[in-house]
Amino acid sequence: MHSRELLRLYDKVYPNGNRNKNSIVPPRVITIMQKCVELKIQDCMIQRLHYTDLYVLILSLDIANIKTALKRERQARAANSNTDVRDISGAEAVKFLQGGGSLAR
Amino acid sequence: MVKTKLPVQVKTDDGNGKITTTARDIDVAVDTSIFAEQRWEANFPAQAAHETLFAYIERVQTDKLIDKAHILSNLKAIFCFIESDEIADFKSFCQLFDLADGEYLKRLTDKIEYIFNLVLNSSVATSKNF
Repeated sequence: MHSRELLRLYDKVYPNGNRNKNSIVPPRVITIMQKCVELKIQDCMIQRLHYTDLYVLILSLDIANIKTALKRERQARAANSNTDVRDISGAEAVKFLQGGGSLAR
Repeated sequence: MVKTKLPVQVKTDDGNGKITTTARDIDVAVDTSIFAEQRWEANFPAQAAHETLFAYIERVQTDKLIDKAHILSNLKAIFCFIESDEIADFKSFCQLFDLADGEYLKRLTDKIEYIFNLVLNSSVATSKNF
């Protein structure tokens, strides 16, 4: 169950990966330690967290970093093409689509 | 870390040809951190190449392999999870158990099952969280 959930998280991070799900190589301890250093996870957390929880923490931080990087890239591309892209709430989107409002600032 | 007791049983020769069986409990701490996985990779690289320690425990529990027939495999996993001043290496760890005694073996497999349940259920991350 834990391994299947971790595979699902892998798919979230690498949706177009060529990985064969049945032959995934489990991450090595050194690889995990490298990620802990990269993500600045404190050593007391490394010592005390359950292995699965630490692994999930690393993947969550990786996913968050990738999302942030993708958002920055989208904004940079939009800035280059003179397009202003901003996030809107669900209510604003519904109002706009129903023709009852403007999204202008 | 959860502290528990592991039943051990050792047979010794008193020098006069008499075999004495000593049964006692040793204090151990169950470690479910990444260092358990490190011990798995360091001590059992052939098995670690195919699956992680935690995946192995999952499979053992799902396939109901916590029994006397698979005791040696289960002891490998237990060795990786526990820390104790009385355990130096896997060889000396195996010498703590008298696998010929059926009644003792039942106590040992019960304790192994208890530790495996502890390991699998002490994680915060579950299928409900995702």
